[in-house]
This record gives sequence, C-alpha cells and structure tokens, in this order.
Amino acid sequence: MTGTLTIALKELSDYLGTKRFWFFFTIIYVAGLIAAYLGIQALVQARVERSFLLLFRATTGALPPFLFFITYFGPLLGIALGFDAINKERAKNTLVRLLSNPVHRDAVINGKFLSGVSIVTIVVFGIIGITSGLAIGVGLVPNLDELARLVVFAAVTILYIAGWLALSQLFSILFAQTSTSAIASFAIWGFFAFLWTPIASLIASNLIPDQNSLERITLELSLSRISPVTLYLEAVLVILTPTARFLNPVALSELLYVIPNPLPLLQSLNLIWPHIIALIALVLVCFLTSYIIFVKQEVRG
Amino acid sequence: MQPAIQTWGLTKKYGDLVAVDSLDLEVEQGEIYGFLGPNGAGKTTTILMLLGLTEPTSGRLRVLGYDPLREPLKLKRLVGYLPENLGFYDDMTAKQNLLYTAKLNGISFVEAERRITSLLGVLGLSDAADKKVSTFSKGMKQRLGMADVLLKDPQLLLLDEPTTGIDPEGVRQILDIIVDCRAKGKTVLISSHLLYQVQKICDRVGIFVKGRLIASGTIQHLGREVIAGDKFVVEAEVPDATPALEETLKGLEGVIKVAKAGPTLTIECKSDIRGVIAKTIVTSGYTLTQIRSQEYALDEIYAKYFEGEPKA
Repeated sequence: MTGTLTIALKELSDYLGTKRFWFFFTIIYVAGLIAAYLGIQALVQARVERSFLLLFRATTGALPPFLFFITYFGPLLGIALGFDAINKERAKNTLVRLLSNPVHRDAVINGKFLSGVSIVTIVVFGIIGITSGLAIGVGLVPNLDELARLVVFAAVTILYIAGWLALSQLFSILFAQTSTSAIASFAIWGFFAFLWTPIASLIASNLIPDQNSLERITLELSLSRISPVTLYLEAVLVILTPTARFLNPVALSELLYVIPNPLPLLQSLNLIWPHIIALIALVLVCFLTSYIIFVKQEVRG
Repeated sequence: MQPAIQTWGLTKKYGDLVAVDSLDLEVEQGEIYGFLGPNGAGKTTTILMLLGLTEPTSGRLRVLGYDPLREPLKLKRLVGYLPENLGFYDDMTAKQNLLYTAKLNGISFVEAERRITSLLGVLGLSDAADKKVSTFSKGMKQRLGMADVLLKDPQLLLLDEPTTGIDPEGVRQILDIIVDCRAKGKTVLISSHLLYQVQKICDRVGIFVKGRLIASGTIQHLGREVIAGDKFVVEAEVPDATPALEETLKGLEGVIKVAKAGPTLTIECKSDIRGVIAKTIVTSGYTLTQIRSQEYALDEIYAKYFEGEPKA
C-alpha cells in the first residue's frame, strides 16, 4: 500500500508539473465556463421547469450544453492522463529501475490510476463548483435534492472518465510506443462518441425493417448502450432530470397514470443502476486485463 | 555460510532462442564476481531472473536465501540493481530521483536526506544534486545510478555493465566504490564485456557465451585451465642463460618444456615448482634476476575460448 501511495503522489506532482495537464485544464475550464454562461441564460429564460440542474443540461442553442462537453470531451482528459502511463517509463528505461525496488507491479498500476483519478476528481468538482458558483452568484440557489444530484452527477462523471483512464492505461501496457497507445485510445473514443450511435441504428434497421416497431427501437437502444458514451449520457440525464421516469420506450396507456412530479434521487438512481454497474464493470475489465498482462510482461529495457 | 546466489539448471527461452542455457552459478557472500561475456550472451537476462523481474523457463534459483519469484519484495529490499540502460525521471532533479527511490524502499525522509547528501558527495555529484537529470552526461547518470543502488544499503549488488560509456576517471571511481562494498561485506555481481576494467577487482569470474557459462573461477585458475591446458607456466629472467641451463632445467622432475626468448626462460611444469627451478638456476652458477608464475590476462582467456567456439 505504501508503494501505491508513493507512486501515486509522485505521479500527481508529475501531472501538475506538465504543460499537457495545464493545457487540458484550461480548455476544459473555458469550455465549462462558456457552457455555464449559456446554461444560466437558459435557466433564466426557462418557464416551465426552473431546476438548478438545468444549468448543466440546457443551453440557449448557440453551443451544446455543459453535459455534452463532458460526455464527448471528458474522455480526452482520461486518455491524456493514462495513455503513456507504462510505456513512457518503459521507453525511458525507468520501469526496470522502478520495479527493482520493493514494489509490487500492481502497485505501479494502482498508483498511476489513483493519481489520474485524483486529477479527474479535482477537475470534475472544480468545474461543477465553478459553474454552480457562477449561478449562485446571479441568484440561482440549488435545493438539497439538487445538491445531492450534483454530487451523484460528479461521481458518475468521475467514474466515466476513470473508465477512459483505465482503458488508455491498458493500452499503455499493451503497446510499446506512446504514439500507438494514444492513437488506439483516440480511435476507441471517436468510434463510441461519434460512430456507434448511427451504426447501432443501421444494424437495428437492417435486422428489423419495421421502423416504428417497438422491437426495432428496443434493439437500437440496447445496441447503443454497448457504448460507454451512451451509458453515461443516459445515466446523467436521468440524474439531472428529476422528472425523468423511463429510459425505455413505454406504451402511451402506461403514461396515462403518470403524474409528472419530480422523483426523489433514490428513485432516479434505481432507474440507472444498470448503467452505473455497467460503467463500473468496464473499469474493472480494463483494470483486470491490465493486471494480468502487466504482471506477466517482460520489463527489460 | 550459504552462497549469496545459487542457481541450478537455470534456463530462459524466448521462443526458439535460448537466452540462458541451464546455468549453474554460485556466488559466495562477500565476493566480487565478474560475469563476463560479449553482448547478447544472456548476462542481463540472468540478472533479471535473479531479481525476479523475468520468469525462468526452467531451473531453480536462490538469492540471499529467497526464491525471487515467491518473495520478490523481501529480496528487492536487499538487492541493489544497476540496469545497463539506466533511466531516470528527466524532469526531476538528481536528489528528487533518489528521494523517490528512498521512499519506495521505506527509508525515512531524514535518513534518506542524510544518505543522499553523503552518497552524492562520495560520487562527486554534490554540485549537481538540484539539477534536472536531463542535463546530466552519461557518466554523471552512471554515477547517479550507483548512488541509487547504494541508497538502500543492499547486501547484494547486481551491476549490469556499470563502466560502459564513461571516462577512465569515472571508471576508476566506480571500481573503487565496488571494492569498498566488498570491504563492507557486500556481495557484488558485475556484468561486463570490458575485461581489463573488471579483472582488476574480481575475486572470481564466469565466462558466459551464448547463454552458457563455459568457465568459472579465479582468473589464475581459468588461465591455467584454458591457455596452459592445466599446466603451470613459470617465467624466469636469466640474462646469462645458456642452452646448457635449458637442458638442466628440462631434466628436472615435473618440467615439461623450456623455451627461451631473450633473457626470459618460459618453463612449463606440472605444478608450481618455482622454488626448485630458482635453486637449480642459482646453484648452476647463473644470475636469476626474477622468477614468477605467468599472469593471465582475461582477454587472452577470452580470446582462447572464442577460438574454440565454432563461428555460427
């Protein structure tokens, strides 16, 4: 455990010292601030629903809302933190020296992951904090339920970005070149962020020609949920939308009895448990694969 | 006392390539063992197996009483390893790099500071302590590597090509430190393809070619075995030597052959009979200015071995 912590602390101070990190930090914060500005405008203009949470998922239209920035570009933060975790040490010949000290190999992976997650946590809480702060500054104050939802939103976001971190870290073990692991990570990100949804739709349409049938829509939904991007987006939309009750198509007759009241947080969470568990599973799969490969790998320079 | 390193039939294969071929190695505690051979002979692979960083294909090994695969952490606390391709974190200073190693070894900050200051002093790096390693020359990095190894005060030092690529002064410094380690009772395994540099300090050497340890012992012993074919060679300086003296010497019990080159008589014999030879020369009325048993240079031994090796 001391090894993990020692490595994590060293990596943390490494990250904070690199230009790469501050570059990302700045971009994400600027994007967040712009989105917050638009969100505040949308919130002020909104007539029906005046939830504080609107701040993160609404916009006046000039730019996509805050949530989309995180969904599509958050993964880049995770990738930037992890893609060269192991292979850079290998290329610089520091890995063999590191491992000749009394540390377990998994401590290296854990330490690096831990420091990456710490950075992600700082960024995510920072950005949500700043956005909320701005809104509070103009007189919009969240209630307790909304505050709790924000915390859950932050936690799921950290989990989501940590998944990309774990994936890129796995690639840094699999590939000897840092450029290869970076490209592989970006490819996966691009595929799931931009290509998978249309592909899922295409597959579903081809298998079930009846465009309006429940089966086709269900199949398309299920397929699109293979993507962590979809999983995350659906999960946080439910968290940030207290009135959301369904993730799957429902019959109109069922809707007849629904009172459009906001759900308590726990009910919303019930709706997206499978999503959260799937995201956790993705992190674990990347992690376990990393362990298995790294422990058996040759380390010579 | 159990040996510091012991291996039985240690083998490592990479696909069809046999990097290390049933190695039986024994290194006693407190000795400097020279692990010699050309590049690609399997020296580094062997060292990595000794540390538990590479898994042997077959065979057993014990290092300081531990099985490197079963108890790697306990072993790594006691072993200092200097890799051939030495890497440091370039963005960190020399001191920061060493502090990180100290932390990984569970050395307290105060103790680490003390050791680092003293080690950097010994290695002549005091002025560079707070400079980034990216500004270091190869020789400085190598010396920093020695500091890194010595920092944890190891019982066993595994040094892979510690003198390659550095200037003679740096080599001398590193060899001095290694000898100093022996004086403190530490065991040192030093791998090298530079024979002259290490033969001065090694108690015993092993010659490693194509994954196989083809000879092991003191340089004297190896020389006798390889060059002289298990014979003793005595060199006597006799300025006024005559063919008659050669005949007299040939007649001695145990002498095989006598050859003369200038004032030097080279006498091959079955055992060390320098006393008898000296007495014979003097009592026959000749002037004996010097008598010694032949010293073998490691690269003669080395060259001899390679002559025997059919070229692949």
